[in-house]
Amino acid sequence: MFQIVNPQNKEKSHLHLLTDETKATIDYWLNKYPHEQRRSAVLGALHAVQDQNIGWISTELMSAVSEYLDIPLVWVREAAEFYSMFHTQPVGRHKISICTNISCMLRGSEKIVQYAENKLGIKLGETTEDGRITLVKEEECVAACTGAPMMIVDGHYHENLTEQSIDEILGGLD
Amino acid sequence: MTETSNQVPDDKVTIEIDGQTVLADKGSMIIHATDRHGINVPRFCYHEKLSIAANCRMCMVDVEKAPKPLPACATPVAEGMKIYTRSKRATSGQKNAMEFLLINHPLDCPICDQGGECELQDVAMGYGRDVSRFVEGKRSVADEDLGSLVASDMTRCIHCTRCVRFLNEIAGTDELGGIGRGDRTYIATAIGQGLDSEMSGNIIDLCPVGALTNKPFRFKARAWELMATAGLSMHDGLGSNIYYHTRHGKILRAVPQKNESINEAWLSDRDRYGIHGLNNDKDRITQPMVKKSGQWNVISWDDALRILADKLKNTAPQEIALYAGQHATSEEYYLLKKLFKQLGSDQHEHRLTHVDFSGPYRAPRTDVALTDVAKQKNIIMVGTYARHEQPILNHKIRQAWLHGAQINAFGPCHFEQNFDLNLDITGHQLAWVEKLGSLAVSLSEISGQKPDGALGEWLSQQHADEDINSLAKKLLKKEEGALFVVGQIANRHPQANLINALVHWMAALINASVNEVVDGANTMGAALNGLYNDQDIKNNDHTVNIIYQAEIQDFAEPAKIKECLINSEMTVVFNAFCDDALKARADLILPTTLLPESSGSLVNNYGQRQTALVAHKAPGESKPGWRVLRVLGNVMGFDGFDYEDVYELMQETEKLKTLTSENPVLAKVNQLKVKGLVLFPHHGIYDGDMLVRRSAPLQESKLATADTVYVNPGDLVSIGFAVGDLVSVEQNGRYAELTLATDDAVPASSAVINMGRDSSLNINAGELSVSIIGAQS
Repeated sequence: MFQIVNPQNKEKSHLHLLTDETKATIDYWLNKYPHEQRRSAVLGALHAVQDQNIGWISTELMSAVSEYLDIPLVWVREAAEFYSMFHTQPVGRHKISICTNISCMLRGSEKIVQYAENKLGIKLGETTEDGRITLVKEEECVAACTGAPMMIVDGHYHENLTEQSIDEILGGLD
Repeated sequence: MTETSNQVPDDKVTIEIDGQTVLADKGSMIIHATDRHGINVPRFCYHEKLSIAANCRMCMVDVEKAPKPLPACATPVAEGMKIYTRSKRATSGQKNAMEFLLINHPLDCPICDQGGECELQDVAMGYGRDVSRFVEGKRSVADEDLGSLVASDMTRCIHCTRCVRFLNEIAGTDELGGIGRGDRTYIATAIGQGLDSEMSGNIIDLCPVGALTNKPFRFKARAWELMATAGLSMHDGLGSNIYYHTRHGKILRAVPQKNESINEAWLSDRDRYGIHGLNNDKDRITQPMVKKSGQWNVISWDDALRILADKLKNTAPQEIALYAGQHATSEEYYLLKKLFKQLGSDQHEHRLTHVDFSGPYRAPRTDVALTDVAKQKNIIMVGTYARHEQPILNHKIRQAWLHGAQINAFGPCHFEQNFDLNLDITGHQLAWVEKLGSLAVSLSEISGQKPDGALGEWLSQQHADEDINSLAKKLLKKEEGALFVVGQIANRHPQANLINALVHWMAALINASVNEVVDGANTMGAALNGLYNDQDIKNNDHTVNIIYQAEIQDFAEPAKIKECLINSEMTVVFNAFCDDALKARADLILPTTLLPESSGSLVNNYGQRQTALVAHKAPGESKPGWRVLRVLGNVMGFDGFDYEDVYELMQETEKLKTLTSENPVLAKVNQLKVKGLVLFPHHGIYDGDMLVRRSAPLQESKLATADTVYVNPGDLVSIGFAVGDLVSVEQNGRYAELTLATDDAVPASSAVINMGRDSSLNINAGELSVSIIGAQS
């Protein structure tokens, strides 16, 4: 739209970045909410673009979501930066989130984190050089306290962790 | 007590605050009641004009029977509620909230611009601990560049989200958001793109800490060194109420003065930062000057006025013309009119922005008061970009839209709005007026009524349009009412009279109201004083031309006025500034002051008369215009120029009769033929008057225009040049050098040129045919 400003300030459309599959998924979520509450579809939309883009959401993709949903870009960024399951930086092929909430902490999650960090040679929030594994910086409680300490690997829960079980799980990743 | 509580109205409840029994509106919050009764409850995130967030937790109060302190801003009142704002539980709640807020807030008050006028500092004095219990390191947040108007120090942010809510709810631009979460939340734009709201400066006033501060004012002064002077904005027809903050007679910044009937608690960026033009020395005139054989010589006021008086005495009255800018005070217009009456000349005009003088003069019509615009159910914007013309009017239109109003627009461009438009009917300058004709055709066909005369004849050649037909049907159901807002694009249109006649006919048919947006801060004052002529006085030859508080850039037809000035014997300029373009054509320059440097009254678009005081010391020998005119009247030997002070004059201007707006008289429709592209003379928000054009912060901001000609991308092939090329735009043998750009918002065969800039001084708004030809070497 027109608000005659310097031409170089005008932003370009990013809609073309969305695949047909992503658009279909966003439409599925959009259909669940009344038009004036289409902001609610932002989480479904962000999951869709994250899946499309090997696990992370670029600024351009956020712009595409904002254009597609017709909501302000900052609303998309707020959601993307708030939830720990969204990644706004490139990630490895596998995402590992070690729970450090209260139950897991009491059951020794700090040692688990340290062991995993040493084994992979990266800190929480970092990705191994070969692009294989990302240690997610922070995960809220995922309601698996009975099996604390626990971690999530690519969406799968692994409970009652020990150093041996971590070796096995990490060894099994490609 | 039992007797009185029986008489409590249905919509009220009785509550007790600190032992005082008061009535409060049902459903209102505790803080509304405490505020109304002058009971102080500390707060950071709550603001009466914004939604309730309840995230600072500072306004904790003690409510009887509640298990813990409750936030006053988010707790609704209930019958019989007993509230204690000073009890131990309340104050300990407040003190705890304060301690949390200060965990990460830096203790850098001595180097913070907000120091001395900081809500956090004030409240911390009352509720903070003397010594912090925290030894941990404080968090720091990277700053981002928000543009030339707002400075940020985000480390100081306490996440009250007032700025986020303002930009979401009031400005409608949603540029800031809370990024991240928990103790790592920070306020930022989505991608560091800065702010582009025309109201962005308000977040400075809203910010309770020093996170968002006034960038041009940064490190200039401390709050306690400043004096506040009540003033009025001179940049649009509203006269927004301002406090000028001055030190040693120099305005350092402007802040809003509350006025619910005009600007509420807000100020547009133009009104806030326009004053920086005053401190721009370029082209500022400080002494009277006369041109002798091509050389400018400084002379005394006595000599200058004698030269002028001699010339006026020896010139036939009708040979003397006056072009008055639209932001002088009513007192100056009053004296100008008196002067011209005694001279015997009626060659005076304030409508410098008009090009269609085909009908007799008519005063602008304003049926609906500004505050009531927000209550409209249907608004039809005709040739207006209210957002840039009167930002506060646009705010009211947006409020109407938020309350469910349907907004439609007819104009030469898809303008970026901060509300949704039902219909955004665009076309080149002639086409959109025909589309407006389509609305009249539909209304005429459905209602069976037809206008007479030239309008009826013109309408019989117009065609109905399906989309517009549905709008007509809705408007004919009269119960909701409708408001036509006719704006500055229509004022500057060569068919302005036709547009007005159309709108007035439609409004009468559907019983709608009409508000015409005026071009200047005191257009109404000039009109009240009768400074107009039924004809275009630029078409007459004059020996003496007087330009009063205007520059060539202020004319809709700068090329035409340049021609007039060259062909006259003497051009006299009464103004604070005189740029090279005007200097080249002037013979005598008299330095008069601008509004913040002189006192007087203004009448706004809605008929409200307001007065302003002197806030800024004018440089050199500049004098207020009324004083110069008073002396000139006396030198001329005229009667009635013996005023002791401006207040004596103001007593007379106060008695001026209010204007009644007549229906437009359309004797004949200006039939225009266009060759090549159709010009849309666009007026950028910061190109409208001599102060904003010289205000560096505004000119560096995102909304500033460029020396550009915009066309529709589809026309690029036939034009034969590429985007970014420096091209010559030709209009009747005159040329403007501009950079070619495209935009989808521009209709086909249209060329948009930014007026009010040096680059467009050869372009007349009234001549619609332009063509883009190769760059001149």
